[in-house]
Parts: sequence; C-alpha cells; structure tokens
Amino acid sequence: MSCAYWALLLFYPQTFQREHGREMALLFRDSARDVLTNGAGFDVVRFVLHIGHDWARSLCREGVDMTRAVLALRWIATLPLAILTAAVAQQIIGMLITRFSPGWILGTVFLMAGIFVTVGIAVAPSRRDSVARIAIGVVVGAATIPAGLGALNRSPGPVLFGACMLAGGIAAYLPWRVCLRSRST
Amino acid sequence: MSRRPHADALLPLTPAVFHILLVLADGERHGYAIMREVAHDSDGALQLGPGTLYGCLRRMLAAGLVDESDERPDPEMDDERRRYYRITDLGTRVVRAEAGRLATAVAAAQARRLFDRKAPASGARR
Repeated sequence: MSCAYWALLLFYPQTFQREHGREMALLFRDSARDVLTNGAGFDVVRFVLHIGHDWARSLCREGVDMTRAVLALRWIATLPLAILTAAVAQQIIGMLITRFSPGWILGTVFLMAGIFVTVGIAVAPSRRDSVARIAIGVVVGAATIPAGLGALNRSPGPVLFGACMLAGGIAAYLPWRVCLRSRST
Repeated sequence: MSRRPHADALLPLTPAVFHILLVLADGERHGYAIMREVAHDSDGALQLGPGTLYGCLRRMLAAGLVDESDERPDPEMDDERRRYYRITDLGTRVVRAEAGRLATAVAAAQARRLFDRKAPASGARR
C-alpha cells in the first residue's frame, strides 16, 4: 500500500514532492496502519477512496499554484521581449519600404513604441497594471531624450521623432489603462 | 525595518487552515497529530488527507503563519524523520481574528434565532 502511495507522490510538482513527500508517505503509513488495525472492511474501502480524492484534489491545487508561480516570473522577460519585438517590427518595415521618407520613419517610430507597450503588457498577464506603467515610463524616457535634445538645438526633426514615439506609447497604453480600470471597478 | 503584516489581510481563512492553527495553538505538533486532532475537533467533519494537509502547511509556512520546529517534544517516542510545526505570532493573531470574525457571525445568526446556543452544531466541543 505504501509503495502505491509513493508512486502517487511522483505526480506532484517536484518542489512539493521534495519538501513534503517523505512526511506525506509517513502520514499515509500511520493512517493506513490505524485503519488496518482498528477498522472493518468498509473502513479500508472508505480510506482508499478518501486518499484517492485527497490525492486528486491536492494534485490539481499544487499544479495550479506552480503554474501561477511560473506565470508570475514572466514579467522578468517583459522588457527584453518587448524591445526585441519592436526591433523585429522595425526590420520588417525596413524591408518593405523601398523609399524612405520622414513620414515613414515617424510612422515606424510610432508603431515601435506601440508594439513595445502592447507586448510588454501582454507578456505578464498577472502584473498588467504595473507593467503598463513601466512600459509607458520607458517610452516617455526614450521619447524625452531626442525631443529635449532637438528642442535645445532648435531642430524640429528630433522633436517630431520624440513626439511620435510618445504618441505611439500613449496610443497603446490608453486602451489598456481604460480596460484595467473598468475591470477593477 | 520590517513591516508587521496585518492579520485581517489574511482573512477569511479556509476551514482547514483555521483548524490547523487551532490545533497548533495548543503546542507543537507533527503532521499525523495535526490530522487526528483536526478530525477530532470537527467531529470527523473535516478529514485532512496527506495532500491537503501538507499543501495547507506549505502555504501557511510561506505566509508566516506557522514555522518548523527543531525541538522534539519526546525524543524517545518520536520518529526522527517527522517534522514538527508551531504557530507563529502572526498565526496566533490571525487565528484570533478569524475566531472573532466567526463569533460575530454566530452572534448575528443567534440574534436571528437561526440556531440555539444550548444545542451547538457538531464540532464545538471545546
């Protein structure tokens, strides 16, 4: 009976199994000894059903907990993934456009900022609110540098560049902001 | 400076967590003793299996409600492989707060004559 329970323990997530598997087996052994010593035939059947039910229920619960823990760590990958996606989008647009004009460049910047914010939020579903704020913060920071330098040099190009980046970030951020706020209320 | 967690933030407790904390409020216990006492306290209504018990204990350890104990209450009678658990200060505050919350609910039910105090529901033996 104990061997069968050891086999059932193998289905639990490894960390849980490592931390509590031995004790769970001990507890099962003691409970089984109690039932076999003091119980009648029906008690043994009831015990086996109880253990089976407990195993299935706790297996689901621990599985869900482990999945949540893994998903919670996804936010770490948010920033590099968002940068990578925006860079890939820029390369694809670069391949499609044969004649570059200032309008196309500004449109690409707008799009890259929007993709960056959207991917950033979508990667970490459990932390959308904080990731949305971080992503728009990064875009504002990145847009302020060229816009500020352009303003200092009285050059309209960098200012437009920064403004388009900011507009792209805000355009992607605002729908999320509205969506998240309506969900929380 | 560490912030002291507020007990109310962890309420309401699940019946299993509440009963485990009640048992540990009496002193350190190992898993099997917890399981038996919870079944006894609840008149058999709450039968914790190994998976449910250690799942709860894992979450309670993470929340700081219980702690592992290094001491062995009776080394001669004891199996060295067993781990003992004890309630923490936070755990004590949380179980008190939950008991207070339940008492308020019971008082409200009594005021509406939903049950008689002289004939308590099963499990209220202490």
